Amino acid sequence: MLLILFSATFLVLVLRRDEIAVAAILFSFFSVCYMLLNPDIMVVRFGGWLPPFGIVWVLDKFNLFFALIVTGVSSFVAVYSLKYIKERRYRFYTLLCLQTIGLLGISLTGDIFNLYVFFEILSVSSYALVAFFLDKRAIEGAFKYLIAGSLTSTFILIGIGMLYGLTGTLNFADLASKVSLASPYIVALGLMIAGFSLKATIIPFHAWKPDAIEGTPAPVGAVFTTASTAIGVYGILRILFIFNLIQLNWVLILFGVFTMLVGAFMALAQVNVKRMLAYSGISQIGYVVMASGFGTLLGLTAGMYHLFNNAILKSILFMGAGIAIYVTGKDNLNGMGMRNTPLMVCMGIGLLSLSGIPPLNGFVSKWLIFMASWEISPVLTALAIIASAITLAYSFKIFSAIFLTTERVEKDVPKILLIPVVILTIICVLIGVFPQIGMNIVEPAANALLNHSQYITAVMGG
Amino acid sequence: MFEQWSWFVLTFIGFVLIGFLVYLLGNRKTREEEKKYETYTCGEDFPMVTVSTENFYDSLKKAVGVDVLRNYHSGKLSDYLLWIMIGTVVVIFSIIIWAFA
Repeated sequence: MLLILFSATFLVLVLRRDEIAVAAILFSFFSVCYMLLNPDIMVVRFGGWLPPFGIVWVLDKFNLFFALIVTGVSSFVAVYSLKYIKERRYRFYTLLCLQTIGLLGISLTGDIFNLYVFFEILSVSSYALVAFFLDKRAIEGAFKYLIAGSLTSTFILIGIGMLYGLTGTLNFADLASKVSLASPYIVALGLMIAGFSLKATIIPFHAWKPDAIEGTPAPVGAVFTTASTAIGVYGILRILFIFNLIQLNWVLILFGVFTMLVGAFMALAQVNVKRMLAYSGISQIGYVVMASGFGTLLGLTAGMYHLFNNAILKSILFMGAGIAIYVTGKDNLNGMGMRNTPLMVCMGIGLLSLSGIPPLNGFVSKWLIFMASWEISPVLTALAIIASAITLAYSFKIFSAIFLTTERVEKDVPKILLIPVVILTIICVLIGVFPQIGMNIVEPAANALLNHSQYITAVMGG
Repeated sequence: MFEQWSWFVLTFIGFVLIGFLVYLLGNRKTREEEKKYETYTCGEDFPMVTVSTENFYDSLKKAVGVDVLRNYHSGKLSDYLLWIMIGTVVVIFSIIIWAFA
């Protein structure tokens, strides 16, 4: 899977055929879907070396859940960008392939230094994608992301170095059986959580994101607010898993609540649609982080279900807003008015779902989060409901700006731009009506994260 | 957990459709009495007021102090880096306190 993506990266650059990249990314998505059907943990040893000496890839339900999110979003973005990106498209697809490699590698590897290598591949390709338009906003956003990202990458590297120095191993499973809660380990844990918090855009590590997304192409914004943030959450949960700290965690809960509320209020104040969606993404990650902090099966299931739904919804909204930008040539809320009924229906459903209105997928995961938070403290439930109400408020603002203004642009929307948005909207409604579809993917993933000993046995003893 | 959910949702959608049908029937063209609507608006002419989308929720933003939050998002890289450093220190100390509690 990874070899095909690597080959596609070079072939696109040499042959300048974008279809190769689209085919490779779609192939990786279908491969992950196929692997999800396997009920057992699969361990791939590179070069035949046994762990902990060789690099291993571990394909358990938790890893594959994140791989599904990243390849799924990348696939929709790849198809959408065939029309959306007008110039230097082969460079865009080269970078998109590299970004997918980074995202996929992080979610599947079982080796902490290998994770760092893929983290850097992801980061470098992301910096270039942010700067893709090469205008003032894009370059400024990319520069801020580059500096902030380099700082936190250094934190992760120092954390990995400390863990390696203390335990003499880089394998997740081996680390999990050797780490303790002595002071140096705690500092390493803190540094790595801070590092991954930048990718997850937890407040106060979030500020680069709206600036970066404002200058990027809209489909790249979709990857940033879904796949890239999901990988940040993955990193935090995997590190906590290594330390066997998947339990009630007030640090995560408080950071989550703060992120959820501040993100929502900041989204309300924005006048640029991409910045507003960026803050909306930050706010939704707050829900995920808060629910993950509960440490219960219900909490983790709720958080991961919301991450899954957020990936679908933010893809709809970014790609939908991208169509409005494509048609009107503006990304400020004033002046984005356009008329297109299918897009209006899709964006309307996406925004209602984001606000947690039944019977859509956003309601299902938010309802689970409310139930999980009620078990910990009703105050948390109340705060989550307040954040949902603010979400509804800014959702109206986006919808009104694009579809309810008196001055509207009437132009045909290319069908290839609409197809991914319509498919994702259908998935959004289907999951809302039949939530068990999503539960069948999310619950085994949450179970895998809670089953510490099964993972260690599968890797070290298998 | 969701055994009853699909039925609940299908019932919900069914009632929405019935409601829409009732709405359509209720909006059939009927003969209107002269000056029928005057009682509802006291017979006054209200000037059309439009608010630009950018200014939605302005009063709410001021009330809850969002402007203060906006001021902290200055766009300056040095501020962002300071936040990251403060965040890192807070994370490390929080974990130390939590781990030893």
